[in-house]
Amino acid sequence: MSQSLYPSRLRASADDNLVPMINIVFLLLIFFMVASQISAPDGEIRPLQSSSQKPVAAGQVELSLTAGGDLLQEGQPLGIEQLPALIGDQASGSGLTVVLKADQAVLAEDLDRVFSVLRSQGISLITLRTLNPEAPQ
Amino acid sequence: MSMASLYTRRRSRIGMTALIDVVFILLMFFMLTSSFNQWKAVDFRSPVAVENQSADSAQLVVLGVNGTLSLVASDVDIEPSGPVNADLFEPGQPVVILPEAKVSVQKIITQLERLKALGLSVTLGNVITAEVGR
Repeated sequence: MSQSLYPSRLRASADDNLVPMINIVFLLLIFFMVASQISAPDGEIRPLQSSSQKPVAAGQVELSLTAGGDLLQEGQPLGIEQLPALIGDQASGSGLTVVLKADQAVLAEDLDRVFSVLRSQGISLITLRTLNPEAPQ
Repeated sequence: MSMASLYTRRRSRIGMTALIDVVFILLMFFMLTSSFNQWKAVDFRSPVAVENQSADSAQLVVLGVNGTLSLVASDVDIEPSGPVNADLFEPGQPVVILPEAKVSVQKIITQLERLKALGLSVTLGNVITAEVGR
């Protein structure tokens, strides 16, 4: 009798219980893949705060400046003496954009050091990445 | 082997355990590496361009370590917070902030935005020593 009530075709296996969970996990995975951006490791940089509403245009050169004044590119240390070569490699005509993500505690002298090198290489516009605490995240 | 035997052969089930393992690893990767920050830009034009425009007419402002703005021409100090008297500045002339060496970048951004709120064209000049600014 019991055999007829539960035919083999409908007998639930252990994996069938996973199907709803897999559905949810797939939805989460797709959400994170579509809605987020993968950020390069840049140490413990506390982002600058501003009231700017202007979105950051994608820069051809992305740099980070730590609180200690160390320059990073894609998470790798970059000496200030290597910066002209980096800019020279990237420069393909005019209008090279440099985007800098600096820590809140970076000193003006460290920022000036980087700005001076960039300006000496002909960069006329340097963009600082900031977060607007009042903007919807 | 006949065609009938091919169709009647019991279809093997795909194991879900390996699939969910991989999906969980992918999910963890995206959760840990992703960022939802909406970055906003603060642009710094080269002060060279300002100097070329009108080096004499640029209004120089020294930014002290405590956040005080000091107008070089009129020797007036502006408190780090509170409203700024727009009459202290010439409306059409660019303002160049000269920070002292030990000023934090966050203070530069804050004071730069205070002056930009007055409708002024503000940019960042070179670092100066405290003695020069006084």
